Amino acid sequence: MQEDRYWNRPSQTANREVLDALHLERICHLVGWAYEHSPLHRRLYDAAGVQPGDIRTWDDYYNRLPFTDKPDYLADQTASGTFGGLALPPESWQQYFHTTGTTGHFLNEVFTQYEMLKAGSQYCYGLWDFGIRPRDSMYFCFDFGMWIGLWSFYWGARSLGLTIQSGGGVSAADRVRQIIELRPTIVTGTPTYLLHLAEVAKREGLDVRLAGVKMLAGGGEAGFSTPVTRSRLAEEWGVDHIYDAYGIGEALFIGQSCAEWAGGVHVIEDVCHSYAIGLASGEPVVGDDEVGEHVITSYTHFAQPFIKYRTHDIVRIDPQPDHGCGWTWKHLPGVVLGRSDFMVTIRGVNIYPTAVENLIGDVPGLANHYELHITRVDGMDRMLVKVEADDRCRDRTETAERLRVHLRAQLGVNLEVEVVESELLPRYELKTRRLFDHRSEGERPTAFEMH
Amino acid sequence: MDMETKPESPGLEPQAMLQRDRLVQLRQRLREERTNAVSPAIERVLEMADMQLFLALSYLGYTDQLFPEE
Repeated sequence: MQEDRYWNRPSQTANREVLDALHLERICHLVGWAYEHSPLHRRLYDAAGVQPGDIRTWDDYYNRLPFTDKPDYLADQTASGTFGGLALPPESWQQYFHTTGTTGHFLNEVFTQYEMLKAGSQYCYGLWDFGIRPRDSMYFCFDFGMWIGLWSFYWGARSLGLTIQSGGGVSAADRVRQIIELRPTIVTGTPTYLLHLAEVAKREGLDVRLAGVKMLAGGGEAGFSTPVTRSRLAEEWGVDHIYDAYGIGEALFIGQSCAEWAGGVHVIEDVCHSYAIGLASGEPVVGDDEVGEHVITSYTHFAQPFIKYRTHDIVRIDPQPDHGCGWTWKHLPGVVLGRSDFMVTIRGVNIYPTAVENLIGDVPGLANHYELHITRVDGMDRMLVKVEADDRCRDRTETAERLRVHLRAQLGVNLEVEVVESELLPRYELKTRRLFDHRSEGERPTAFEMH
Repeated sequence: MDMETKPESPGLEPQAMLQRDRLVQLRQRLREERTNAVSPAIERVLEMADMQLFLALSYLGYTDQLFPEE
């Protein structure tokens, strides 16, 4: 066949009416199947007084079908001793994983062989759009552990036919040396870890730019769609492209950036349905400018169905993006703007960590490595922004004051700022921990309290 | 956001629908071969081939099944 810019043109460029019709067919089928095979779903639907035959329209889906949430699966996992929401027997299971435990609890995950194939297909849309082809190669900065995120990237590389170069089981310095020697087209990791590798390279007297890497790819954190972090990564590595993948452990990377980057990612509508609900109302968000909590139904999960699943990610969904790429799939500008179950409201102002990250990048002398510490003093929430100096910083106190003033001007609230020495904050190979909530359980807000 | 009932689902472009029909037929043939496999080795390979074929169908809006073993 002729070269095509799109990995799967028929659906990737289909109009909204066609896409919505396909979604509704899949959802109706999936609800019926889950009711028959997953005791958890049957319990939830029975409790809500819903039978599969009741779900036939979008109105039924949005307004009659109950949400599912991580605690449902965790309770079922505890009761069963294996996996929550199981719908297929052990002979179908091929590989186990668990979530990263960002919320404090690991959710066990199990995949069939088909699900792994399907999950791998999720990556091809974006990579193909950037011109990545089977002649290219991908280096993995990743010890193959229990977190599914980069495993699924590996399945994606296999799906596309890339040459796979494993950086498992070696130190960061050795990874840098391997990358310079192997000259992969793509290096995969979390944004923070890739910045860390660039630092390690400098310390070792090596220049990662000599590796000729064309693209940095990965996910797990906000950085790949955060302009300042993207710029820094591009500069440190000398790459042409930064490829972001957004996902949640339960549903994998369901968002991918296109080659015409417009500040976010497209929802991969071949593998999930995506919409947002109002933070206060729980009703579907209608306006393109309104943020809401992301709710998804996955078409890659049958051993453990995730239907109308609350991700707790705060997103804004553009249902009809038009930024030149030709994809008709929904777009999430800014990707994840925050967490509905991790509200950070300082003196009435909602603070999104990604906004803080961008503002840090505006102040010369600061590195991308930062932590946000939340405490409650005399009934008031306070936030300390702890950020590392970089080699351009001459006076940490003065730089801290400049950042404080900048944050005050941009966010409208005073945050405490501490600039610490370079490389003082911990580095993480997987998801970097940014938020440290020192408030007691009772002081923390719950979901839907967000203003 | 579409809140209306869709009694008749619009499909993908005609060329895609034609390929989908051909792949459904091909899958039927493959499944027959799998039933007649002369060794576990061949049976397993045909099972994996069926998964790949089903993946192709999923790209084309196939919703009669959600996954190959359903």
